[in-house]
Amino acid sequence: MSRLLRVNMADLKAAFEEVPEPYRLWGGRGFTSMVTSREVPPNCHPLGPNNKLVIAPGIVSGTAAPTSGRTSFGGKSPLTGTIKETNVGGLSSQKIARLGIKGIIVEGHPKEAGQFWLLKINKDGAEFLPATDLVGKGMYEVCRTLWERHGKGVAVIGIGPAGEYRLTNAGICVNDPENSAGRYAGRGGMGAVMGSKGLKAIVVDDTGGPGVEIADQTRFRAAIKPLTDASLKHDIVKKGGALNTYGTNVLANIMNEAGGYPTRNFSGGRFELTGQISGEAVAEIVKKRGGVGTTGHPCHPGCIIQCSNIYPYPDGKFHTSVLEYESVWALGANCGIGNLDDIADLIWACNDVGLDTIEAGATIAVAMEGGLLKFGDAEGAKKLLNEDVRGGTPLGRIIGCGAETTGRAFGVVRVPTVKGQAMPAYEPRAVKGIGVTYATSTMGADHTSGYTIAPEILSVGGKADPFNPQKAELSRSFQAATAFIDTSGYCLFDAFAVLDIPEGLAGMVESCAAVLGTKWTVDDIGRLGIEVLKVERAFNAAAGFTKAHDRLPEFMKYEPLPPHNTVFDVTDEDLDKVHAY
Amino acid sequence: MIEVHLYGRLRRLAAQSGVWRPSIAWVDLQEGTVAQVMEALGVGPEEVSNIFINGRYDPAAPDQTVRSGDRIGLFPPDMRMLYV
Repeated sequence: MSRLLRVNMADLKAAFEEVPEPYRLWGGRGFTSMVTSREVPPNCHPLGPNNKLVIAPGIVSGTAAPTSGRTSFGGKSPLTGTIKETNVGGLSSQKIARLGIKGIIVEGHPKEAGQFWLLKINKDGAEFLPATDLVGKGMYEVCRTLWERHGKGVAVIGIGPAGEYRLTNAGICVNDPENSAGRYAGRGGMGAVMGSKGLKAIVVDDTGGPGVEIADQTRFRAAIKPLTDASLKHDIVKKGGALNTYGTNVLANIMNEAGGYPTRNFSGGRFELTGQISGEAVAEIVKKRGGVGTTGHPCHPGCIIQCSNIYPYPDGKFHTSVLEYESVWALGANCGIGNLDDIADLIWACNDVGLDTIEAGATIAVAMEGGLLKFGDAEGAKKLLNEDVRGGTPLGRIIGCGAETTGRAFGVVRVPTVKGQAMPAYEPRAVKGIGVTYATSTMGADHTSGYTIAPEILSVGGKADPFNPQKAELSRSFQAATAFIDTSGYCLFDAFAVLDIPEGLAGMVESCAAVLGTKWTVDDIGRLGIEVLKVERAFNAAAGFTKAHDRLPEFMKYEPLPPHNTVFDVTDEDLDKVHAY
Repeated sequence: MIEVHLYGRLRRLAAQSGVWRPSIAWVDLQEGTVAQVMEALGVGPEEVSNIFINGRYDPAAPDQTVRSGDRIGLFPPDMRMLYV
C-alpha cells in the first residue's frame, strides 16, 4: 500500500501516513496540484511558513513502463505567484516510487533561520541529518559528497546557493545516472521554496524497497507493449531518430529556418550563428573529442528515447551535461553568444549555482538590453553567474530573481515574460499557438504545458499553420493532454509517439489504469487533464489572477519580428476561449 | 537564383559543407517548383523530410512554385521532426 511522507521542518519530524482519498488516484502534477490546492492558502507568501513543497513521482514511475521517470515538484511559485508544477528526469522518481511513496509533502519553517538539513529516505523510514557543511556548495560537489557518504547510486535532490538565498529563479536539481547535477525541475523558483524550508538536499535509497504496487499485472504488461513499440518506431523518438542522434537541440536549425528562434532578447527570429550551436554541431564535437562525450544519453534508467548528451572538453573529459535545446538557446542565441564551449560553461554554472537555464538566459539577455553588458559577452555572463549570483552580491540577487525583476531594475520594456516567468525558445509572433499557451498556461510562460509546436512546426499530432491566430482549441486540448501526461510520470517526449500512433496512446492510459485499478480509457485523458487545470485555475483565481494576466507582454503586439515581420495578433477574446469550459 | 539552405547530410551539396557556417546552394532558376530545385541539386524526394519555403513549413512544398530571391530550407530524414 503506497504511503505519503509528511515532513515538518519546524519540529524536524517525518512521518508516513495513509494516502488521503482525494490524492489516491493522482501522481505527478495531478498529485502536487491537488495537494497544493487543498493544503496551501492561495494568498500565502511563497517563501513563508504556509507554503509547501510537494514532491511526487508519476503514476507509472518505478514500474517497467518505458521512459517514465519524471518527478514533479509543486506548491506556490515565488516567481509567478501562481500554483506551480515543474518536473524533471534523473534518478529520484523511480526510487521514491519503489519505496512505496506516492508523495512527499515538506511543510513548516525551520525554527532557526539559516539552518540547513539533509533528509535521508530509505526502506527504514526518513531521518534528518545536519547539512551545515554543504551550505554554500554547488550542486556538482553536493552530488559527489552525497554519493561518498550515502552510497553510489542514491538519488540526490538538492539546491545550490541560489536556492539557499531564496532567489526566485532557483531550481531544484536531481542527479543523473552518472551523478552529474544536470537535471533540473527548474521553472518557477521552487528551489527557493526548498531553501525557505531549510532543506539543502534529499537523498533517496530504494534498496530493499517494496516496489510499486500494480493493481492488475497482466493488464499492465499488455498495456506497455504497444507504448514501447510506438516509441521504438516513431521517427522523432526512435533509436537513430532525430532526438536520439542530435538531442532536443536538433530543433535549433529547424526553428531558425522557421524564423521563430528568439534572438538577442526576442528582437529577431533568426540567429546568424545557429549552425555552430545546433544539435548537429554538438554531435560533431562529441564525436571529434571522444572521451566521456556522448549523444543518445538517458537521463534516467529505463529511458528508451535517450535525448540527453554529455558534452566533453577538447581533451575528452567531462564538461557539462546536458546541452539541450532550451538551455543552449537561452544562454546562446538569446544572449547573442555563438560558441558552444562558452554556452557549456554557462549551463554548467547554472547547474552548479542552482538556476533554471531558461530564466537565467532570458535574464542575462534583458540585462544586456538594459546596458549592463553587451550582447555576445560570454565572459561577462559567466562572471554574473559564477561570481555575482553564487556570491550573493546585490547584483547577483537581482539577476538570480529572473527576467522580470531584472527588467525592472534596468528599465527595460522588452521583457519576454508571462505572469513573471520568462518565455522559452519559441517566438510567439512566428508561432501563434505556442503564444496562446504561454499566455493562458496556469504556470506562466511555459512551452511544455501545451506544446502546440508539435502540429504547428513538426506536423506531429496533426498539422496547423503557425501563422493562423485561431489556436484556442488547439492550445486547450494540448494543455489538457499535457496535464494528464505530467500526472502519469511519462516523459512528454513519449507524447510525440503516442500523438501519432493511437495504440501507443491507449497503452499510456491503460498502463496508468492498470497500476491504479481504474477503468480509464483514452476518452478520459481530456476529462482528467481538465480536472487538473480547473483546480490550478481556481488556485490562481483565489491568488488574485484574472484573464487580464492571460496576456503576452505588450511589445509583442506592436513590434514586428523579423524575418516574417509579424506581430502577435491573437485577440483577447480568443485567449479567453482557451479555458472556457 | 534560389537560395537553398541545407542541413545534416544534405550539407554535402553546398560549397561550405561544415556545420560551422550556413550551407547554402544557389540554384540558377527564375521560376519553378521546389521539386525542380531539388532535381537541379540532385536531391531525391526520399532524402528530404521537412521543407521550408521562406521560413514557412509546407507539407505540399515539392509542388509549390518558387521564384528568384526565394529561400528554401531542406532537412534530411534523420532530422525528421515529422510523422507523415
